[in-house]
Amino acid sequence: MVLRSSIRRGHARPRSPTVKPCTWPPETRVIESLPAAKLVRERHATKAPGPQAHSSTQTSIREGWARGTGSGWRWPRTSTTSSSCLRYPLRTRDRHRPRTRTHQTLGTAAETMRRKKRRRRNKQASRYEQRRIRRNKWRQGASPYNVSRERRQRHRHEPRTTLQPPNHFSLCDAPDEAVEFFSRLATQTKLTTPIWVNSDHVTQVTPDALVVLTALLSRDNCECISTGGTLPSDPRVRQIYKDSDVFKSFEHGWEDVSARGNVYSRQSGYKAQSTTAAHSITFVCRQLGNPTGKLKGVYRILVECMTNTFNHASIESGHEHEWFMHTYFDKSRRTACFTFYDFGVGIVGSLWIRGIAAQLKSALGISSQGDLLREAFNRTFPSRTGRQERGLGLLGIKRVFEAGKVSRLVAVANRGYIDFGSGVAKELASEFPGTLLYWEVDATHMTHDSTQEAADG
Amino acid sequence: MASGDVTVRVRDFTTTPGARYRVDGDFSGEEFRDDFLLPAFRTASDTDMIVTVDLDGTHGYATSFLEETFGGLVRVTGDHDAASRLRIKTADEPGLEDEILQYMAEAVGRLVANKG
Repeated sequence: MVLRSSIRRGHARPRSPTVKPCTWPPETRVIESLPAAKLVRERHATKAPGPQAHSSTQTSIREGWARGTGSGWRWPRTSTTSSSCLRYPLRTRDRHRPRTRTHQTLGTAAETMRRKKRRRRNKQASRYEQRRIRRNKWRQGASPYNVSRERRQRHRHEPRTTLQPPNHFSLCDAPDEAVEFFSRLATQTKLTTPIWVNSDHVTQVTPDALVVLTALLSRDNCECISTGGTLPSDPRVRQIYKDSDVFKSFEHGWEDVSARGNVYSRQSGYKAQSTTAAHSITFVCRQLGNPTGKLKGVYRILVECMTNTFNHASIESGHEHEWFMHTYFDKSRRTACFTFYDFGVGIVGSLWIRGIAAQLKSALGISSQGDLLREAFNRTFPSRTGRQERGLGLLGIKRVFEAGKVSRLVAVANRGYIDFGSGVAKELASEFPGTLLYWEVDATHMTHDSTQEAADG
Repeated sequence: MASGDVTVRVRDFTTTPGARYRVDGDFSGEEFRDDFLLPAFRTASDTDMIVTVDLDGTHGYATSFLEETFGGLVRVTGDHDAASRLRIKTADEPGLEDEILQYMAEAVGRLVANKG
């Protein structure tokens, strides 16, 4: 018994000069120096005659001798202390095989190498490549998020949901139809059904609609939803789709692009990133022919929007919401179209949560969400924080428009819609997921930097 | 009477002023007020000088940055006459001076109301 314990602990037993190491099988001694000696020895060991042929002491001595040859043999860690186990050690392949895997999954050495290489490559892939890899695994039936195989199989055979944007696909010009479409899309993105956006019949489109489409399909819960669609048949609209890289975004999600040629710039973030706002403005000024120009009104709107998203887009404090900023340069009109979007609770939604909307409805008779939105921009309501010095952001945005620093300003939040240019404020039929601001600028809104001019002389 | 001035240029702090508080993001009004404006203001108060704040040379200003910088100056120092010790220089956006003075006046009003 003592002898067995020492073997299990892995102590090399001193070779006794009085005991002949092993006389069976005789070939073992002869082929000891060959590379395959260990394998041959093990084969012979497994073919040993029954337990009755060797006593436990003899067996132990034989194993001790084998260890002493330097062949790297180790006793299996899971072996028991029974004498039968000592006499019949596991075969080499069994001993060194990880117990968590089956033989089928282990595969050949070449397959293992290929698998390791693929894993290494996947690990080094960018965030968007990793998302694509996960999606492909999903399609092949793998489980990236511990979803049961049955559910995935069922999901694979389910028909996809086809959604059709309205012919006039614009939140600014035709908000009712577009918001209804986005409301349905937002509902679909909460499910796992594949989504197909059929844009064949779209005859007019504005960048704001494409921004919301891209942002909604880039939400975290859309990572594993298969998305796709068709381009519009109208060549002019098709070109806008292509310029905006909408279908590329379907595959890769929202990618921050500081400037794609002279077409667009888009960014996303969580906090107030003033440098990001400055980059977008520089992009526009470059397109408008003055790289050192300033758009101070646009800068104010952008920083206000980022701050509002950071502070107010979430019901719970401390929970950050992502914002999406897109700048599209319309070459035909020489106009830059800015879109800022977040899918938070919305401006009107925030009022409802605070109970302000209900009070206004009863006190002033304001029930339309468009009117509520207008009052929010007039700073009729106190800030959610309760601090009197706060709540200036929306008023500041409105004043930028009134000062003529942007040419058009449209806001959509929840069911509220307001176009500051035409003065139209109305309640929409469907709920818009989040808050959107859209405005335009051209070369006339650009100002010059006095310090830069002074430096230039 | 004031016998000179101390100049604080925002463009020495940043060309991209941010939002209100430090937690909101980089280059906030709180950061500018505490690290740049307040030391200059205290020096000017001790030596009976005027602080000139040069707002030119940046991309623009959010309302929250301006309110926290100048309204916050009144709140932090508790000085009702803080506006008289400041001179705003803004050639790029002339309307900013009135806006800033309004924020300071509102802050003084709240200060008085709270004390009363």
